[in-house]
Amino acid sequence: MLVALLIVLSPAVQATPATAARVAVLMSARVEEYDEAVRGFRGAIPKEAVTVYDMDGDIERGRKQLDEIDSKLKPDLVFAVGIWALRAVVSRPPSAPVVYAMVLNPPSVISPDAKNITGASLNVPVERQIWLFKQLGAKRIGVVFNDAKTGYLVRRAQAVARDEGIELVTREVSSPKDAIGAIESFQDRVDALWLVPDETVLSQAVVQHMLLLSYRRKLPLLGVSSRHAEMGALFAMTFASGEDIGRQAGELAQAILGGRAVSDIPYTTARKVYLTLNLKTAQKLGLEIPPAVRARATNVIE
Amino acid sequence: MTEPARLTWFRGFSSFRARVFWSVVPIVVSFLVFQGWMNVREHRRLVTEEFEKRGQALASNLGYASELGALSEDLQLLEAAMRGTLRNPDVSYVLIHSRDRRVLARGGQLKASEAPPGDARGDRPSTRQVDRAGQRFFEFVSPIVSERSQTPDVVLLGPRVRPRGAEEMEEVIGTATVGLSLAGVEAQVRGLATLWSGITVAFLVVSAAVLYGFSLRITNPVKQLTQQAQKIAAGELDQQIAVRSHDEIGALADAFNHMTRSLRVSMNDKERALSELGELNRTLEDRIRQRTVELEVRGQALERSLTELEDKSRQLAAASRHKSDFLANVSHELRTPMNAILGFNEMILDQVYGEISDELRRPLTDIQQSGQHLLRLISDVLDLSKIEAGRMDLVLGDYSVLDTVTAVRASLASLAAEKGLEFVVSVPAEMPLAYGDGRRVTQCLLNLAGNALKFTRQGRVEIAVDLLDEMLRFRVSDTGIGISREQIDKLFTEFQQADATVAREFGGTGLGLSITRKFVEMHAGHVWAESEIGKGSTFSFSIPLRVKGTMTS
Repeated sequence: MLVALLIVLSPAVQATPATAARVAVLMSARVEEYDEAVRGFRGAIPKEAVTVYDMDGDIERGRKQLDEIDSKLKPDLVFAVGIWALRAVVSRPPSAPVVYAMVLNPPSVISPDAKNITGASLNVPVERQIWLFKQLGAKRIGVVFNDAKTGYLVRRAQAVARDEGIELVTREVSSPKDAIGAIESFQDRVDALWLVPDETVLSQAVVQHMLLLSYRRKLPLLGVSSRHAEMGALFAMTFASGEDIGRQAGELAQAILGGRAVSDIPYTTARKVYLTLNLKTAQKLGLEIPPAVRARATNVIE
Repeated sequence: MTEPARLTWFRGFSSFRARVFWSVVPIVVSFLVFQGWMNVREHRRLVTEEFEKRGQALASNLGYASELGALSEDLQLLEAAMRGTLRNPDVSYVLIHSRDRRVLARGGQLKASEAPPGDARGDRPSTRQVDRAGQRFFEFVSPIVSERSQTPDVVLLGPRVRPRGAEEMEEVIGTATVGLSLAGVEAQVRGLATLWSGITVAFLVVSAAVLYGFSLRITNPVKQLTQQAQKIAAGELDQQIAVRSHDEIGALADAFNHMTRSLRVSMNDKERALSELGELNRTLEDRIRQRTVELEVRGQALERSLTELEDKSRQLAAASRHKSDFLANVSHELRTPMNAILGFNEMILDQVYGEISDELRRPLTDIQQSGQHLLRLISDVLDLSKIEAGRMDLVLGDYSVLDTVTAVRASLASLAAEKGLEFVVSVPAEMPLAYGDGRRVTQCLLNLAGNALKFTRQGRVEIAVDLLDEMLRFRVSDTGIGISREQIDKLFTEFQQADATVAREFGGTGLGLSITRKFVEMHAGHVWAESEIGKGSTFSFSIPLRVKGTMTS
């Protein structure tokens, strides 16, 4: 269905059409978190006229919708929600500036020379993650990553860690197959494990292997999703809510519509994070969880 | 084989015991063989099925355990995964292949040179039988499946953010092969087959022994019975069979003993009867002789008596004839003067010889009446005499029944009128002419009607005639005094009246009915009477309408 799905979110929007900017929302799919993000976005720019397009997970369809947006809607801003909407605007850049949200590792998708795009990523600030390891007294953190995907993230983390006196023991791999060997190679060379949001290492087998190593060597493991904490990782740090990410993106859009240059606005990471702490694992690993960490935990598995 | 030997063999085979044996043993043998075969087959099937299930489970487990090893192609990891499978005693070898069919790892009794490349159809579980190094194996292949790497978005937000057309979550990254030796299964089946053979043989031996004992239990009493029968046939009746069992054989032996006892008793009876018969034989001749003499004596006496009887009879007949002759002659001779007396008396009454006074007329009338009565009596006696002397003949000719009855009525009408009785006759209108002695028939009717009028004080007397089947039936009924049944039987003999007092009151000689009977019988008819005391009597006689030939007394 190529016809745009128009959602007029508020009657007030219609009441002030002369002063309002037009915003096109391109959604990767109708997923609850994406809807929350759109709600947050709308909350940040309540006066603008918003038209929503649903890609239904189809990039080709997204591109056609972008054609239509450019030719018919001619918006002042395009809001891309989710990874597929971001891929669509990257492969077919619209004339209007783009703000994205709900996307992990945007630098792995957006080329460094793209100027008219910025957004609110789902990534958790590396500083907070390094802070966690520091609270546990970790000195050497083992990381397996694919440079193409999370190289930027690891390099940044290395810089942050160095400042904190922590070494990142990195293993660069290009396939899950290599990841197993890489994990095996850590053995007693590290005192903590960090799972980065890299699809090369997020297969079930690799995660399991990482968990096994964590147990065998009594190494605390920081996961990407709270599910990882449920599976046995000591903790997992994730974004707190889609709505807040959306609100972050809305603030960026407000700035752009207010006249700031897009290239001057860097992408953001999650302002609010959600920390899941598995005390059962802590017990098995023989770890004392510092009160500071305990206090930050949003969800505790006992 | 010599002739007697063959006979013995044949008898051995055809004996009861052999027949029982040979009819049961094949059934037992075939049952055991069939049962054993079925058992071994079913067991083999079950064991194989179980074996296959175990093999598949082992291969599937190995496939699962080898995921990491196959992913990393790390020999240590793979060996660790295979270790658990190889601990199973049935597992001969295991093989791990990569997706491109390379051998990643092998374990168990399989040399590197024997390790085959991976199965092209390794992406689904399969089972096959193979020969490796001269041994047969069951080989179970299971795919090694790994989850595809997930995008961090999917990890964080769930599978709904996966794009359209994205590939499946899982992929086959290799195959795990487990080889199980069939030797264990085959040994088990062989063991079972051996066990069953043993059971079959043991069962056969036991059942043969049981059968033999059983047939002995049957045949021994039968043999005893046979010997007993032979002894009895030879005359030894004091033999008894010892009865041990309570079954049919026991019952047979019982019956046999009973029969022997009965036979002995009847033999004793027979011997006693025989000796008595001999004794009887010896005395019989004497007795016969004695009886013959006695009989001869009696016979002679009888003969004498017979001769005497004949003489007497002749004398009696002659005497009777003489009496009848005499009576006939006397009657005839009496009638002549009687007629003369009556004739003259009548002429006196008719005043041929001058007037007679009234005082005289009365005795003269008495004379006339008494004379007529006497004459009638004489006539009757004469008739009876003639009949008995065989000199009475019927004078046959045509006569009218109506005329006869009318004549009787006419001659008796005055008597009826005198007594105030109703006197009627009835004769059918179409009565044909009868053939017989009309005069005698008239006389019979006169006798009967006269009697009826005589013995009836009031009421009526009727003469009726009817014709039935060429037989004339005359019936004279009255409303008189009646006669008892005993008296009726005597009525038709001479000089009999129902009661001695009757003669005094009603007169008569008692000859009438006797004469009537004789006449009727001469007409080949018969006479009878029915009566009820106080109500009246009916006298009837029937004679043929047309009498045949000449009838004599």
